[in-house]
Amino acid sequence: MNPGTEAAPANRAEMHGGAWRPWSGERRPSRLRAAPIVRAGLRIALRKKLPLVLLFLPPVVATIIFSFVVYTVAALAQGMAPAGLGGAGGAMGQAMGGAGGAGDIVKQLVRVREMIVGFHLSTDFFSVLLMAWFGAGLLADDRKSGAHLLYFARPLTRFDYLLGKFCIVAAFGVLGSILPGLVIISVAVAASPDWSFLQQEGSVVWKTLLFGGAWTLVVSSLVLAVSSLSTRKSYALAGVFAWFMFSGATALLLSRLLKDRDWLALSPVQCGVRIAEDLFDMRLGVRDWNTPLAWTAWGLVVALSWTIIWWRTRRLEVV
Amino acid sequence: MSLVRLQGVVKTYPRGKVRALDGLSVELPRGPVGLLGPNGAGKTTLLKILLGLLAPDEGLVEVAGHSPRTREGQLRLRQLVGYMPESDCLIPGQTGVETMVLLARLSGLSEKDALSRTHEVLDYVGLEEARYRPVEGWSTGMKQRLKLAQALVHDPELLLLDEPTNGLDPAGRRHMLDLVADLGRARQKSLLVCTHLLADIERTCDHVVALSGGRVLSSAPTTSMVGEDRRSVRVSVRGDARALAVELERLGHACTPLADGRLLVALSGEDADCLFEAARATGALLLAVEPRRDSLEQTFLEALAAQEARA
Repeated sequence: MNPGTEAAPANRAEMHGGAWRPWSGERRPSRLRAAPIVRAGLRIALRKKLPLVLLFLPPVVATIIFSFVVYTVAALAQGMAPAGLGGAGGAMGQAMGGAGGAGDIVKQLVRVREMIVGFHLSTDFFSVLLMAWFGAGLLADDRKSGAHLLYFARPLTRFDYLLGKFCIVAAFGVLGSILPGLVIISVAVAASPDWSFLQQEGSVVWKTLLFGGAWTLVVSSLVLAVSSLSTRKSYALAGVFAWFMFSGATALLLSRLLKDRDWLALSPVQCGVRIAEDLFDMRLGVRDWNTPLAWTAWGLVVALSWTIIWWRTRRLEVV
Repeated sequence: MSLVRLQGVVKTYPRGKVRALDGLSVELPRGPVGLLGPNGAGKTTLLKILLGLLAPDEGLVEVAGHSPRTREGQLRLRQLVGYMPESDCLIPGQTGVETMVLLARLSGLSEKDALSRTHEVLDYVGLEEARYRPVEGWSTGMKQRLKLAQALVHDPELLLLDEPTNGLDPAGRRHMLDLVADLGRARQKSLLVCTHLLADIERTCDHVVALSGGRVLSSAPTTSMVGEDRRSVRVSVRGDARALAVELERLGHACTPLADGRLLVALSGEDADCLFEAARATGALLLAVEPRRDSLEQTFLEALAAQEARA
């Protein structure tokens, strides 16, 4: 033993040597190495209640309102007053342009589908808010706090790490975009006569999943890319909103100046509107432009985002 | 048998064309080992290679018989190694327990094992009271101990400790050194302690490896590097120290006055009787005679100077 190793007993710091025992178990990393990261990330995100309430309130309220309207329209299609409205059902049906007791069921079901699409587009903003708020700090905070040193000193690949982070953001996309859509569809299915909504408009289910999933993928990738470029969550948050506003304004300006609607592809939001129009077979305005271009634009955003993320996280793997 | 074996390891960073490791060959024994070296010596690159974060350009690297040549090898290596980074690295928003459980799970422990192991290790490092508090509110000493705990949670074969006493006050430093010494000596863990505080290595490590310019400057047991030189003694004198020095020089012993008034005498033989003869002859009174003890710093600087002279 070296001189100086033994300190006087009175100077020894508190240490509970009795608590130590060598590990005799097995270390076997799971194939789902990203799962603990997702769990830990969601736990941290759900810990602060105020942002949760503020950010989830609008989608929840919108879901309740749209569910009620969809239920009402579906009930009117059956020629009955919706529960709770009493005699007002007929009046409301007239006010909503419904056919009342003699209504055309198919027409009403199409209206339900349009409402679901309208819901998707109206809640897109809130889903961006959710994903940006909870995702902006995921890579930026790790970089700032140096937590990547702990992650990458484990048997964890960069793919696992990024998959975990992506799943955290995407979970909020699912909660803010896909889940409310499925709730409204469920209401429509339950309220329509003889499951007619499912029979006539059943494709809305997979189209909702496809549209919501693609939107979640685009926004999550973008949020993570901006986060990987930032050193603070606040910068990343500002960056995400700046990008959405700048791309939207540029797309509108160029499309009007050059009188070519294809320029709208510069804005992911406009692409979303176009894709929704095409996917759900409806017209929401005068946005009759190239749908494959909208899909390509979304694909490019995703590809570019992941290139940035992959490039930036190479630097995280540094001791 | 050695735990870590490096043979002819070369690592060059293409961007700066810097040869960080230049044919490094060393075998690290089991137990606590200190890693010394000036800035740019290759310590960080060596740590990265031992963590499987960097692959060497040439040479052989083995940790407990595993090589980081392939991706699987790198991942396997990280299962066997625990790493305590120098800088702040704790995950914000998490409690101590959550941090530990997450990292234990990532190291391959089951949910149940991760939780029980977390509590054991937090108890061991003395963080049992704070374990459910968010880490942001912890003191530097507590954070440093949590960093040590997370490196230990999966009971790795090799612990890499990068500046474990960095930023700690004297009490925290003593606590950390006690833990490191206990792990290395009482718990028989293999440690590689990378620090520029040579006193920390003297106190906690049984073996020292000094690097310079990407090569091994020396690799030897700590005791041999901080050993006593019985031929050199420090002499405390009451009386005429100058006359004593002259008399010793006359008897053939080199004598150097020290700043604190003592004399450093290089004896020409093993016998120190000449000191007393000279003292009697000059009427000086010898208060203390103690062998000169080389510090690790002194040995390290001498080795560095010798290497520069050779170069």
